[in-house]
Amino acid sequence: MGFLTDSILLGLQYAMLALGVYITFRVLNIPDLTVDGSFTFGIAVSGALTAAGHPVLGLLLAIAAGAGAGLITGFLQTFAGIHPIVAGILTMTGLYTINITVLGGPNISLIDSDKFFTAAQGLLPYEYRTVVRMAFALLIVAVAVLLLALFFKTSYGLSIRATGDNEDMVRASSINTTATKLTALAIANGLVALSGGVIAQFQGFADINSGSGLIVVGLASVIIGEVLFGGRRPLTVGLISAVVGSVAYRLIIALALQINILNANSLKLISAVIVGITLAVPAIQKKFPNLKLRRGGQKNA
Amino acid sequence: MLEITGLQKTFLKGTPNEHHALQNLSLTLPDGQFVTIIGSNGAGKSTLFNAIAGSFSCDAGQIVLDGRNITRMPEYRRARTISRIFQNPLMGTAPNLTIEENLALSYARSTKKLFSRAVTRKDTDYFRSLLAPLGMGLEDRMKTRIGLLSGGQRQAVTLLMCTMVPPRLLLLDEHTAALDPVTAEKILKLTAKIVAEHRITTMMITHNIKDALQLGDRTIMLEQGRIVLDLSGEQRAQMDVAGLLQLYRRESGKELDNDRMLLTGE
Repeated sequence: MGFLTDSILLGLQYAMLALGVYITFRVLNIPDLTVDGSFTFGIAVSGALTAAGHPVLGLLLAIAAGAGAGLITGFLQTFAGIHPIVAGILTMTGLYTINITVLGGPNISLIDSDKFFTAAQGLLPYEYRTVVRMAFALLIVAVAVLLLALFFKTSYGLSIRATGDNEDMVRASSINTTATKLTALAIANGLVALSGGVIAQFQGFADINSGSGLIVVGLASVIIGEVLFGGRRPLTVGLISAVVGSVAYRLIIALALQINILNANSLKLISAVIVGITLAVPAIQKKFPNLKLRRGGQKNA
Repeated sequence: MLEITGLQKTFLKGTPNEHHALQNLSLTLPDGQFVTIIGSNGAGKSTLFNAIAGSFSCDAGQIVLDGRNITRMPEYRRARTISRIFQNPLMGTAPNLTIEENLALSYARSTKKLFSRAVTRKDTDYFRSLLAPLGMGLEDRMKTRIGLLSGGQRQAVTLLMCTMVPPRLLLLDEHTAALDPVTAEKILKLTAKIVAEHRITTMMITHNIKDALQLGDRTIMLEQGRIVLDLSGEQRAQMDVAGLLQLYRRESGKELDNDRMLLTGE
């Protein structure tokens, strides 16, 4: 059953990625491709600082780094008036150079460095290794979900949600939508980078290519979560569904690998197909109204 | 008090399609005045609203609201004091937020700190007391997504949102035109009541001449970006739909042309 705990643990580490994608894709209603770059930025910052002996600082700065990347994408989208998808691609592409500079090479090993959970692991016998890791991963995810749920219930959080829903109306109610977009992109990419930062320390190495294609993983997690929770739900449930979706995604893949349906190289294709089909559901339903693919989840204008 | 002086706006300047939407338009509204605005298609009614609300900047002229020159102020900043309701009921509310969240969004703009709870129990009670007089049963559906409401219901909520913190100026851009007659009547009554209650300075564009003469205390008619008629007091009280049309013919030398204008009146 090792693979079960392993994939739950992995799913929790990637849950912050799913939360970040949920915020841009579902709350802000903007597909943000910064993710691939900001995830690796998190890995690079967390990896470099862990190697230098500051694992906790590494996680905190990873969040700041991701938030900074999100701000750049936001700046390109708003002040520079660049299409959101292109803006994300620009930031992501530019970040490659920054990431490899931060890492000082394509990859570094953190096997011998102290990680943020090393001290806690040292207090307990070796058998509790996984328990400690699981506890830390759960704690980080729980804190993230809690803070987000509270934040989106504040006045400013509400303005951000409304920006994704009816931007004209938000501007007409005296809220600066440039500011709300920048904030949301910063939070989302901060979470994505935190995910990368945590993963770098858990897996014990930082690699420049870890981020490629992760936007699809994030989308798949969000969508799988929504399917499991019966469609699009209110925000707090939506956040939880993204976390559950992330774990479910890892479990599905682990199971498929376990029973040899597919090999590791086909993961990306499978993820892309899952996301593609699910996103096509509303269009398919429109064409074939009698087809019952999913209960509810219809967006009302 | 709203003071507009010499407002100019030309679209597609320097092309064969050049269009003078506002031509040296000046208008002063004392505090608490309710002006109705009529005019043919392309007369510049909505352009005037766009200029006041800040949807674009004007070529010349200035707009002063309560002594403050807002001519160059960005739209979202003007929105602190100017509220606007559009014809399309979908424009004024966020469909995926609940009724109470939508109301909270407007309520927050002057009363709340950024990071305080958006909807408290106290707010819910207050919103309920605002919704109940509408007689639409919305006070019992506070947690319903606005997207599930009808156009009339959404416009009613929009009206509440735009006036719950009374604005210094309320712009109504044919806000009942997309509703069925019964609902439109209801929303108009509600509008008149709220405007009177808070003595809000209001401008209302309408294509219904009868409404234009009945509601408010002044009626202006726009034609090619100019004010061609300005009725108030006794003269307005005496006016009926036929009289207004006749006056229009005399002033502009042509028939009133508006495919949505309701020319019937009793």
